[in-house]
Amino acid sequence: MAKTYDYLFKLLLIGDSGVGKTCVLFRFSEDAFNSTFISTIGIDFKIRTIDMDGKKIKLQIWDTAGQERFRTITTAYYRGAMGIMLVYDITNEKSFDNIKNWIRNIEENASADVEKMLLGNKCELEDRRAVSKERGEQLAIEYGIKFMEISAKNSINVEEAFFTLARDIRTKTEKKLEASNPSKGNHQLKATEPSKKQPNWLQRCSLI
Amino acid sequence: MENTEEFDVKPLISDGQNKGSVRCALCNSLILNPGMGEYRSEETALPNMRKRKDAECEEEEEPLSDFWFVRNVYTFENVGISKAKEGKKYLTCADCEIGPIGWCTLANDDCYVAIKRVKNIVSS
Ligand SMILES: Nc1nc2c(ncn2[C@@H]2O[C@H](COP(=O)(O)OP(=O)(O)O)[C@@H](O)[C@H]2O)c(=O)[nH]1
Ligand SMILES: [Mg+2]
Ligand SMILES: [Zn+2]
Repeated sequence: MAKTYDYLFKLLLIGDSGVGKTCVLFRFSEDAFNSTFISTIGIDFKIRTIDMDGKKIKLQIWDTAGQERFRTITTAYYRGAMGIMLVYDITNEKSFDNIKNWIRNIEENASADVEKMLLGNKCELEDRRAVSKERGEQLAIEYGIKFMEISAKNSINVEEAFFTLARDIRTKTEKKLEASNPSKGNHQLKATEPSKKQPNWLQRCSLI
Repeated sequence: MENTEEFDVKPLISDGQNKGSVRCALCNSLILNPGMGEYRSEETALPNMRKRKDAECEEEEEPLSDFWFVRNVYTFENVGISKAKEGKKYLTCADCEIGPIGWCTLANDDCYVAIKRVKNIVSS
């Protein structure tokens, strides 16, 4: 069967327990669906397809199985990850302080060039805010990564955040492809159809 | 959603594949593009889409016999994959999370979408 997408990116959500990672990935549900079979067993990952400048990008987004509670997120979970959302809760100072520990954990376990982004969740809870937006921005600058405040509850900036991370991974990937294959420069743009064959990096990265 | 009346899958199939796109019956989220699933007739029971809130009762299952077979999860446009339960994983809508709309193997490769549990868009 022909390949139906241009890129496949594996993304993870990391951060303290309770910051809202599961809600960012899944629907924020407090309604009737809570009683379904599915919400009882939980969701492992989602496939999302986005269109970016005419390219079809599949995102495979994983939730933890709650291992973060025991800080036992290991190499196996990080394997093949190309992007990581580092999530804290703006009403919980501790979850913000722990971001640097999570970054260390990522450095020890994930691939060195994994793209990271910092997210401050629950931003609709302004009256309970414990971490200012400026501190989030500052920390992101320190690590040279992007930052957004989001609310899984009110669907603020959630899609934008994934789109941003996906765009940055794509840029990095295309740069890498170009560097490893300089002959495919501009004059190749005339090629009629995008190749249906998976580029090598994709074969490597989709062995999940 | 679990209607038991006979329904005819033939108009939904072309060349052994799904003729139209497959969407969520509840929220219309795009699940599968036309031609990406192969028709398979086999008997599999899946847990009901809704469970009673006072869920003391046993989980009820519905026998199903018509599926779109999809070779791996990346073929889907949007889908959720549940955690494993008794050797199976279950498919859900990625947006509203209603399900199971089908099941897949533990290796996330062979997937089966229950034709009756999704909206099959066939423009005549
Ligand atoms: N107010 C508010 N609560 C949220 C938000 N996102 C998640 N929560 C709540 O935070 C708690 C933990 O969420 P969960 O997704 O399970 O966190 P996880 O442990 O990181 O997966 C739950 O009670 C959620 O309802 C949000 O954006 N706003
Ligand atoms: Mg969780
Ligand atoms: Zn839906």
